[in-house]
Amino acid sequence: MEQNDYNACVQEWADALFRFACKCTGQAADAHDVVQNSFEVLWQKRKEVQPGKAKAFLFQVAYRSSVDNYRKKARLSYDAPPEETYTPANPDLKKILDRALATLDEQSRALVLLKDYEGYRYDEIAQITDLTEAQVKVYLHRARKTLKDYLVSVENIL
Amino acid sequence: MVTWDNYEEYIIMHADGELSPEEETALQAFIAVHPELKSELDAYSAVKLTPDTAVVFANKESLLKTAPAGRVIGFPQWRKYSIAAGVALLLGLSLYKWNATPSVTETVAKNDTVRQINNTLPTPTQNNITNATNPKIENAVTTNEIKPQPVITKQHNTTTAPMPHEATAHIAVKQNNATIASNHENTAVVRLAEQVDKLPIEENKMMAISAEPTQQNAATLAYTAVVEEPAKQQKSFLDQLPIDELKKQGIESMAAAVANTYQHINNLKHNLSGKTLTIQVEKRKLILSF
Repeated sequence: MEQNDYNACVQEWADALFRFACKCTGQAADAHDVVQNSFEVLWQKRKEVQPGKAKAFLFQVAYRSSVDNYRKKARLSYDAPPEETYTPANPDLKKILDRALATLDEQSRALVLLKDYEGYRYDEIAQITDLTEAQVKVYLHRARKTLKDYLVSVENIL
Repeated sequence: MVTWDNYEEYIIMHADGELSPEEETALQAFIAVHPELKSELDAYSAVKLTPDTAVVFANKESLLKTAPAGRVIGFPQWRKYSIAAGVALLLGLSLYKWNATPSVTETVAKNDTVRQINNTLPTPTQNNITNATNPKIENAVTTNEIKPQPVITKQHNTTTAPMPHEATAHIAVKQNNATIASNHENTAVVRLAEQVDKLPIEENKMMAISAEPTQQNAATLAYTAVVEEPAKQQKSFLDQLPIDELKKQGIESMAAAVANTYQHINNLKHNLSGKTLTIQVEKRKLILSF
């Protein structure tokens, strides 16, 4: 990867990485640090990273940074991200899902985000998170069930 | 095959888009048979998160790299390179000094050598000249010994086939020239080269020598002229110094020692020419070619 490839990665993936980090860490400032660190690591390792693998590399570093950062701070609860937008078609669903996401542990949350935000397959998520594909499948299914149960319970209340 | 035990896994994989076409067909067939599972399928499909594109990284420019990749050098690495550069600079300066024009002291040393030889060289009428330090010089002197012509002829007849008298003398001179060329830095030989011209060879032999001067011989004579000129200057310079003879001899000895050292350094320089010196600091290499 050359300098031009790196700069193209910044333009293409910085926003997505920041959104992922925001949801993982729950803090925009932490997410900013995660993104900066991820791109710095990519720059240092640019000779070893193929341009086609740069996105996965960035999310791998961001995932580790986010989880480490989260564990280091020993947070007991997830702070809902300050940035909240609502889709006009279903304004409540987005808010409910954000709350549901906050109930997950940091690893399950990262798996759901990698799946829903970035559309990675199970095997790709396994490579990024250094888990086995079976583990990814189990953790993701468990997270989906939690999210679904949360959504159903809220709907029942409403 | 979709069953009551695994249908939920199939539904989640359906929501994640991980089912193969065959598995998708099997799930739809199972739900068609059990329509009460349709609501569960919709619920899992609803818990799909969508990214908020309004959230962006504010300062992308801070992440961009504008400097050439090879010029980003951290200070600790720079320090290592500076050490390597310092070593290379020292080596370079040393070689430069060695390559420089000989100093006054070195010139004095050469001139002293010439003077000493001038004092010890025999007159053309002397027959026995020996130089224990240089066998080649001894050979050269022997062939230049001034003897009656029959003796010279006899000497060469022992090693060569009988030939005309002129040719034999010519070979003797050529041998002298070859020896001079190989020792052209030795002033004693230079002096002997001059003696060749003083040999009482017959006029026609001298003409033969003059008609075919070799390039080496010309270079040797030129060298003699260059060496002798500063020798005269040095002699007058030493004579003008208000020091006694013993100190002058000491200076001459020192000059000779310096000249010897200069010769050693010259040899070292010749040995180094064409060689490369590689200094490696971690993964970086500094290659010096001489």
